[in-house]
Amino acid sequence: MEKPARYTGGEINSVMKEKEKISVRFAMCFPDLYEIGMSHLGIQILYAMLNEKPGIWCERVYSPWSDLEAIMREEKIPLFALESQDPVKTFDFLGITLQYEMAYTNVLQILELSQIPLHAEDRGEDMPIVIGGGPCVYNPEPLADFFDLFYIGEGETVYFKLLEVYQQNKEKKGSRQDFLKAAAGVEGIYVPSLYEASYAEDGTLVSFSPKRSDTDEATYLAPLTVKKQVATDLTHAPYPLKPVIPYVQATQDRAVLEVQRGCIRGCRFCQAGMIYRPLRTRSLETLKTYAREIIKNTGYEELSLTSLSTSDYPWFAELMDFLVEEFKDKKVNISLPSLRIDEFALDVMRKVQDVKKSSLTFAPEAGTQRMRNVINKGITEEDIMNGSEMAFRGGWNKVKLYFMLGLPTETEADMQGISDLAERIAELYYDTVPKEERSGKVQITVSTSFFIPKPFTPFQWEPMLKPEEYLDKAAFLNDSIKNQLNKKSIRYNWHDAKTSVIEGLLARGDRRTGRIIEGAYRKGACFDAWTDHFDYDKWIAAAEEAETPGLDFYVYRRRSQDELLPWSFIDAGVSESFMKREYEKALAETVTPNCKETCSGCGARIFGGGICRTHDKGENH
Amino acid sequence: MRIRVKFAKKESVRYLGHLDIMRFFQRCFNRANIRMEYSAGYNPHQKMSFAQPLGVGILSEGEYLDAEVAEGQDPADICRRLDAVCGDGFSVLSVRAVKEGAEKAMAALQYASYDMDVEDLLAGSGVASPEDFLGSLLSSLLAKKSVPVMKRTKKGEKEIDIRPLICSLKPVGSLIRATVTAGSDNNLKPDILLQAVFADSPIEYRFENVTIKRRGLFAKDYIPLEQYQTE
Repeated sequence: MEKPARYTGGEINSVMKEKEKISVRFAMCFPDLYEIGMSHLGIQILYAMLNEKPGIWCERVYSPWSDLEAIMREEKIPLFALESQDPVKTFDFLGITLQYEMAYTNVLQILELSQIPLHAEDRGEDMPIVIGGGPCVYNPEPLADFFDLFYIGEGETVYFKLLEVYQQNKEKKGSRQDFLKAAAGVEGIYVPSLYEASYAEDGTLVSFSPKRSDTDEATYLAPLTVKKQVATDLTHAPYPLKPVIPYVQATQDRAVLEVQRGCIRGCRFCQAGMIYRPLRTRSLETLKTYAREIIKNTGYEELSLTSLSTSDYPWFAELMDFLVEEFKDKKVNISLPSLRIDEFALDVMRKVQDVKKSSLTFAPEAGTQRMRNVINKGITEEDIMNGSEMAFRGGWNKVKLYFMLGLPTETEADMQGISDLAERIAELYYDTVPKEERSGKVQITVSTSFFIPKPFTPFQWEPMLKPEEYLDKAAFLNDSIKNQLNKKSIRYNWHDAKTSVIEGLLARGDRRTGRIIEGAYRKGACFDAWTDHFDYDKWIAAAEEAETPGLDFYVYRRRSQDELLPWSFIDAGVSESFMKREYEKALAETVTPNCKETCSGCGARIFGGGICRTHDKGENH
Repeated sequence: MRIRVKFAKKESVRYLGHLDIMRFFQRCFNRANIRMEYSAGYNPHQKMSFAQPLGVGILSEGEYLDAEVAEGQDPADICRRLDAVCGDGFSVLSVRAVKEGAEKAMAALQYASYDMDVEDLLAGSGVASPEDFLGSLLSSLLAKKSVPVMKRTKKGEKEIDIRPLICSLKPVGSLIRATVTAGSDNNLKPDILLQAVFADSPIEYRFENVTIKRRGLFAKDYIPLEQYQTE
């Protein structure tokens, strides 16, 4: 078996407790390989937070790789949690974080290997409550049949309340059903079995609402909308200062400092930028203390900053100065996220990275200013050229550029724009750096992903293209780059189009889409996020067999703005009217200012926190 | 100042590989706040080397690493501090200063001794007295002039004679206690030895069914590494 230590636990800072003194046992699962799951900050936050309470024991579970899976199936060994090695099926809760759609089949693998019935309705009183969380729950419907509950939003807010409701129900000797009904009363908790959907002839959703009480027709069993949970005060929110240190090397094998949550930018394709609104920062002093503590407690030789658009952190310069100074003699490397390139960023990069080895990263996402206006990506060609020029003068010669293909309104000119931009950067290098100072050729890497419309974005109604049409676009760009003067300095790679289409299916599916997931899983799909495991044909076969309106309906169709969307019952703060306004502005190629400049009335102000408060008070952050 | 750290690897970390253990100890030194010497270059590394990698699945009560630490630190204090941060899976047993100009542990290493518990392997085989059964297997092996085995190398397989690599071999209950040559040139892995032991027996040898514990590592004349050229 490969790396058995993935499954044996016992890591430094992992938490052991005496079972006899525990009233709630929680298995927290990241449905992917240990090395991936252990790189995830969210689980570490919740693990530390839940284990603070003496009566709660939170343990970890990850997907077994195929070698262990085969043994478990052969010998009928139920999936176990790392800490106690007890079967997950004996726990009170199984929490599964849903970070990307391509892990959905892994969720079914986790349930099946745990010997927990796949369908929530088939679970007996002794089975754990299966709860889903993470960014994918902003459309939980494709997974509705497999989960008892979903927690919509950030885990720091109502977990203890939910567990309290659970314990009260246990004390009252209430049933599983009693608990689910009570849980529906906790803000942010969605109980899919208490809702029902009906569909029109053409497959579209006509109604979606909570069921009514058997005894009282006027009473709904659950709220009409489920409100996303937001940790408004990030500075005082729980943070893992003693994270579990894996023995087996994790993909992200370093200390992590989350500087802020949310993003002010409002890129119209970006789901994270919408669902994590509003922007909330951790105070500078808190981050300084955390950095020192985490390094002391872990012994890590590397610290990385994490957030969306980290350059927007209001005290970024002060924080970087502190970290560089604090850790310079302690041999702790600071790993930087991709920064907006300016003199300051280059100065910081020079201090913490080897210029010869490091590269500049730009994510213009689109090749022309027109297209960038459509997606509201506030970076101009001037920014990129100026940043590159500064960097080339400073000794850098590697540039990474990220783009999307298949964006709404995209034309050939926009794709050509990507190729031309790469060429101009290459030319800029040779114009800027004299021959004798060059350390080899400039290395430009162009990467494209295919645009995938996501719920709670202004592009949520957009159709996707067929895989072959995406590949035509990639081929067009590839040919165009091959025709550039500096083609030898430019490398191009693109994402898998078929994976993008299935991700699109899962992102905007409805309750019926679960049948496709189950069908694909039954055909052997698992670890779909791993390129060499993904098998498109299994998904297509499953989609053809399952009773659903199919990919034409879910993926390739332009949805009407009047349509009831499967995720409409979720109140993410950001309103549907804002998204419609943003969609119109996209078509008009008009930019919306960021949250720091002005409030555009997205709706996130209802949470009463973060950047929105500065507008309430009329201050700058 | 160079120090030699002796540590034990216990059951709960049995499945860690050598690279995992190396990374683990680098971080232990950091957590214990021991001032280290670093290599030059853009990504300075602690100067640390292990006497001999320990395979996945093998326990040990006598592993060694050499580390360069800043002057003026007390080995006994380093030992206490390392032991306090190394969790339940490991124990730091001793730390000694290595004499000026002494060989590194990996260069000084000549022998390793192992206890290999084959109780699970013999289970159900109808062997009445494991000690007698093992005794006759081991003496017939020791009686051979040569014990050829196929060894996998980077270039493929080649035949080697492991008989000269076996120093002593005896049964203790259901244990096989072996001392073999170790180090970069003549290392004999316990797995290879066990394959040879059971090759002519009705017992089907499987690595997973044996608990192997390294008892110690030795320099020339069977001097335990912590006593070899240390202060």
